Amino acid sequence: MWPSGWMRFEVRLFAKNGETVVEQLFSLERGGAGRLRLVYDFQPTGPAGPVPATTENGKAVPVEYGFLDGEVTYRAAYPFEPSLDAWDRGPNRTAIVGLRFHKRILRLLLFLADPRPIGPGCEEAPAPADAEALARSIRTDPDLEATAPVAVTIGGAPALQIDVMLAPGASSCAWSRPISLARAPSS
Amino acid sequence: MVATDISGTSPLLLKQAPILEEQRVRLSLLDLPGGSVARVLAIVILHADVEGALESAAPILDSLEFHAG
Repeated sequence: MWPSGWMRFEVRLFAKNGETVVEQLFSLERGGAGRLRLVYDFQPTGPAGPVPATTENGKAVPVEYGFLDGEVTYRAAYPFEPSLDAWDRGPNRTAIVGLRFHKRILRLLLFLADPRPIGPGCEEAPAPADAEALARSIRTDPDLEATAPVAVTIGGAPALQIDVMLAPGASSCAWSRPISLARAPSS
Repeated sequence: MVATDISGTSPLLLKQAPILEEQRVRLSLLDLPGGSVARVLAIVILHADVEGALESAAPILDSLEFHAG
């Protein structure tokens, strides 16, 4: 710690006579003015790679995140978290990464607000008026093979669930995307 | 963080949402409550055919809450 460097502390909190054990990682480091400060490690790294910042009885504790300026909230536990890739961070789009597959880290989920279907000439179609119209648009897209919508409930709200794959010989469209040089997931 | 642009050509599921051959995605489409800045929310499980994807996505979807209005 002198004159620089840092120390890590693992803090354990016990509750219910030890039935519940919460563990968190903090670092003691020097700030810009040289004063010591205690910092909660949001994304700590252990000897074998990233580790959860907070656990309860050994399990990662879900963290709450927001989408659409907080109109939609969700909770995700390590290793799943919002992507930091510029491609995934927009007012109408966010992705959650952390799906491990053959030594790669993939996007698990994508949230899209008012998504725009793609027309036969690669043009953007207008945003559908509702979920049913969007489901109809996807099902009638000749480049996609989609199952019939199934009524489900998500977050207490009615939703339509569809599985989609590419149709044989599907046409391609040009796209572009920003890419950040930090923590870009594979797909 | 430094950002730049890349581009490509591939089939698209939705705008700026490429889909790969053999990739199976699961879409959940829902109407957002009145007063929201958007009308429709699409939640895409991008690799529904990858082991553990659906199970990993389930608790996140179960935790969704809507606060519009």
